Amino acid sequence: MSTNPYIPHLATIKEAKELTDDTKNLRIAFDDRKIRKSWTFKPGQFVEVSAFGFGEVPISIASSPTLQGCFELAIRNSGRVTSAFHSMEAGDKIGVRGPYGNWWPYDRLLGKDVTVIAGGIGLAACSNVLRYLIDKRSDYGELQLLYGAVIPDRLVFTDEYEKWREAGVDVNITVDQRVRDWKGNVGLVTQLFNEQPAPELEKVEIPSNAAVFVCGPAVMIHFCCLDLVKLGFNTEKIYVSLEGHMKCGVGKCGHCNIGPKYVCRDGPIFSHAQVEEIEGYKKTT
Amino acid sequence: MTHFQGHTYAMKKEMFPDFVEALKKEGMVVAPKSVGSDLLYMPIDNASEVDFSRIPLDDPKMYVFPMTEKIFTLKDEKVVPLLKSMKLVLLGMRPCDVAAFQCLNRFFGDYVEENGIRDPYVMDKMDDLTIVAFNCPHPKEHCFCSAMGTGPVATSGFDLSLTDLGDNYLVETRSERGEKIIQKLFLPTASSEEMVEREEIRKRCETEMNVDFNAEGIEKKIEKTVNAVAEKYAEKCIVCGGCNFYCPTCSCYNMSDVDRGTAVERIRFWDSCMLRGFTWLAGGTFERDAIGARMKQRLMHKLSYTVVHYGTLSCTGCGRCSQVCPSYIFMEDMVRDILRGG
Repeated sequence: MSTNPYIPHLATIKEAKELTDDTKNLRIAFDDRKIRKSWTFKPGQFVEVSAFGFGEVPISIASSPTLQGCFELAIRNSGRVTSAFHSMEAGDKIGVRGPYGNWWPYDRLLGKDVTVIAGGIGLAACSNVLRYLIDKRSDYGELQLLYGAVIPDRLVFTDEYEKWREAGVDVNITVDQRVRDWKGNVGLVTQLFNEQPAPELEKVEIPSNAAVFVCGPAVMIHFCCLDLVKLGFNTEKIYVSLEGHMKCGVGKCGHCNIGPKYVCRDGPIFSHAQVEEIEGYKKTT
Repeated sequence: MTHFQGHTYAMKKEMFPDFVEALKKEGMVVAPKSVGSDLLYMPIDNASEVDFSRIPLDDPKMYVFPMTEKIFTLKDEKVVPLLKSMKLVLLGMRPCDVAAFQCLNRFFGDYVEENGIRDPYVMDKMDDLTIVAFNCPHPKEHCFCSAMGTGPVATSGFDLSLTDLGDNYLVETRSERGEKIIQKLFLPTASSEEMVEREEIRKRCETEMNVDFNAEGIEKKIEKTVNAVAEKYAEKCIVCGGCNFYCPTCSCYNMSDVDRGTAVERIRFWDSCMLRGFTWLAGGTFERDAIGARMKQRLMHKLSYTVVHYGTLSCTGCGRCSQVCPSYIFMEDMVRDILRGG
């Protein structure tokens, strides 16, 4: 790794696949053979990825480190740089720096139950660990996924749910709004497990001693954690992946600083207990 | 710089041109120079160009952390780092700015024990830098360095320092590099009378500054009072970001790409935590939407977080933010309010 933290490695998009109308999955490989072989990361970390001429954005690595020689990013079209990625195809050159940040505490949970709760594109920040846990299935107890999106068309990685079920994951999907011929659950992802179940939704029991990984829109994370705490989950066993406006990824640009923490360096994974503390620093009243 | 035992010399003012010539051998000399009614840190050739008569509003930070800087260029599918540094002497830096450079040094150096990341763009310039401090004979309006423990006399963080004793300069060395420069001038060691005189000048400057508070330990008190103080002053704030852009310790930046046709350049430029877009997230939300929340961030970062990060406050009491604020929001008032309970 270069000692200049701002210099990206050149990489090539190997495959670009539409996941939804606004989200694209990019399979990426480093151009340098040595880096391609030695580069690795831990599930939950992110990279700073450059669309040259447009800029750089922090994106969670969606794939598992068990996938070798390349990695995947699921990028939602939501701004200048991400829209540049959306116009890219296989063969296009990009820049990659990282990996940055900490990771889901999967390494401290051997033999334990793990539940992943995700909303919308938030699944791309958890799919890394879910896929990793599936590849190391025998090392863990019960695995569970609770995933929700606004409408069925916004669900990502839809072609993998069956595979995940076959691997022994309790996969539960829901959408906020009924659309066309959707036959599955209708209701918020929190209603899958909280005490206000929706009529068209099959309730899910989260193993009481499970570690819970949460990622999604800020509002979803907020209510998800509240409901988990109400159900008696320890705030130290709920983990959240936070987002932040990040320019550098190494704790220097200052944008993601909240309280004494930098989301890029001290996070992006925080326990709910840490998040509660951090939230206090944002408020003045 | 830390293990060097410093010495103190006396230099006749007639020798100042020789002193400047000796500095020129160390690199390009930058010093406060009058340009019209402005006093700017600019490259100088002659001792006669140096103006110590006023405290500059201009911030020497830009010589180690420029307002805009090219990071790399991408050409023919190659990323080429654009690291640029040169031997430089900053002559006449005030004690507050010397303290600010110590903050920047720690922040852009490897201050995190685990996974420390050194910013080579700033740190290469720091390594090439010789600092000649100038201790303040008088304060200006809004100065409150004595409350922040950074002045009006610099005690560390420089290679050489000057104190104006009338006919003489008292010259202190704090590094091998500084000592080497001074050796060439064969200066006599300062007398005990001259040391006493320097102490009197410090006392005089402090008296003139007339600061009625001391910020020591403010990081332990701030959490109780910061919300009320931030809300109170946020009401007047017009969100121009001037306080950040004139602050000698502010280090936040943004990065952007410039497409030059045959090449792409990545540039970085100063950013301001007081601006709303600073925490703009992809979903269209803002971490700190209210002005009060942003004011709190600025106060907490300078008066608390950097104590956690690298062990010192990062407000030096230079008073520049107060000087430039069009809404008359004065940092010294906010610090005083925080100390006195909102």
